[in-house]
Amino acid sequence: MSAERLRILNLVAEGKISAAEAATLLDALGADRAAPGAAAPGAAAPGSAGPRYLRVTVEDPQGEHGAKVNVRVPMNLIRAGVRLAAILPPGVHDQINKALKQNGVDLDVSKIRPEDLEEIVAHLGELTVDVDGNRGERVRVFCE
Amino acid sequence: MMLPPLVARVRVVTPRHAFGAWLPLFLLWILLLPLALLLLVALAVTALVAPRWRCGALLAGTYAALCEARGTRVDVEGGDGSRVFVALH
Repeated sequence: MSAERLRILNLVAEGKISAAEAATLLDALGADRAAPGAAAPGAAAPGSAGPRYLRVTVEDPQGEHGAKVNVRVPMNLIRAGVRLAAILPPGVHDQINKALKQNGVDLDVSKIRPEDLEEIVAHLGELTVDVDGNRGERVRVFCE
Repeated sequence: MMLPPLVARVRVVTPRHAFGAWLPLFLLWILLLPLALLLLVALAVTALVAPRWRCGALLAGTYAALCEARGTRVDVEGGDGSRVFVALH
């Protein structure tokens, strides 16, 4: 924790400023740090940071075969796949959309633009799905 | 330089047998090179006939997807001790 943040929290503890005032100060402090040119030393460039792999694990200890599945997919492969989908001709988009819809995915791949890719992958990095079944089976989807 | 997966590690274990191998995929790419050249010619013709198909971009995108497959790992374990593991390097 930085000295500035600690000082603000101390002011709240001493009762010199209210919690709302402290929140405003902390927000301002955060905004200063996020400003261009004020990045922390050694901070990674946009696009280079973040998770490298999407992991899918399935455990079913009490299932018919007691199977365990562990899949690791590079995030760059997902990026390349979405980029590939973005350059497909319109006629192919319709066929893909139809096939996806038949499988319960209501997505229009023609609306995926290359400039949106980084945002999609960045949000995928925050994805964590953790499903526990009543028979002890467990499905986890996360990024690392 | 972007390169496709050069080696695949495969391991198959059954209750009775175990088999593991490093498959030299680079040899496969060398063998497929003449086919790739034929494909390039076909794509060039397609690009002239149907420019809206963006063959160059499609080819580059497909190659990029193939290259980015490096690092993929699939590991499936059965409760009876059987296991299949595939990793692309």
